[in-house]
Amino acid sequence: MDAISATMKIAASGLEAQSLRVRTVSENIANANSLGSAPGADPYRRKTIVFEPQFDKVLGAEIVNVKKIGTDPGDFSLSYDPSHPAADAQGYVKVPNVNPLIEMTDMREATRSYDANLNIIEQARGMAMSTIALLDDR
Amino acid sequence: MIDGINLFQTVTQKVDYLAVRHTMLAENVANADTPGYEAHDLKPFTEALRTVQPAGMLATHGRHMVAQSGQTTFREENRVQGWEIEPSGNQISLEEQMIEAADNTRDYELATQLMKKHVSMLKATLSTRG
Repeated sequence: MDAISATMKIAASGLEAQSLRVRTVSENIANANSLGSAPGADPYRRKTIVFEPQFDKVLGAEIVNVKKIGTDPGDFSLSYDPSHPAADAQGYVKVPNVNPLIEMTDMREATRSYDANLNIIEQARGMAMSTIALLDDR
Repeated sequence: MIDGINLFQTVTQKVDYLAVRHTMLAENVANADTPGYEAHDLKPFTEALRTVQPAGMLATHGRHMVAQSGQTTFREENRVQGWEIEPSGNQISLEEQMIEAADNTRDYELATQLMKKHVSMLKATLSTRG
């Protein structure tokens, strides 16, 4: 495969990985207030995403791949709300370990990386176009 | 005069080099958030050109086969020390990579324009009458 097409495919793998990351972030934000329903039950646990480089034999280059979508082992915090169905005997409810500030930062970074990959595709396209322009008989 | 046609070969190699380099920059950018990923790049063009050209074996016998040049590609990697290392061990700085990519694109444009200009110069020579 020619280098320019390979470039586009590699950047496309970056786009895919970053958009999956944004999806994970949006899951976390959407579930920031998802509590349990039985007394003492665990609420939503924050999800994390890990990338890994993967050698693509066809391209002869390293694309990016999602290694796993795991969970954050961090502790849940407690809030006092005795009337809640998920409240334990002392009246405390476990709250998801989602920190909106961290999620927002993560989302910004993912967006930035997404843009960078998009720029690479744009540049590769420009390079292909200037090669094609050689055919112009002027 | 005909010597000038060497320019085609050089420019073709340059274009090839730049396209391969862009692939490498794309790898770096795609892996900008991969833990432990090291940035890589090609050697500078003049240096890469020297290594990509096979030394070639001397054919001292009629049945010796001579290696075909032009089959090799620029794949000589060069681990580079980037601007920063993240706590995850990732060495890619997006800013740095984007600057390199922009430079690369500009050089590509230059090389193709040069080739185009050279063709038109040859045409001008051919079309001269009298």
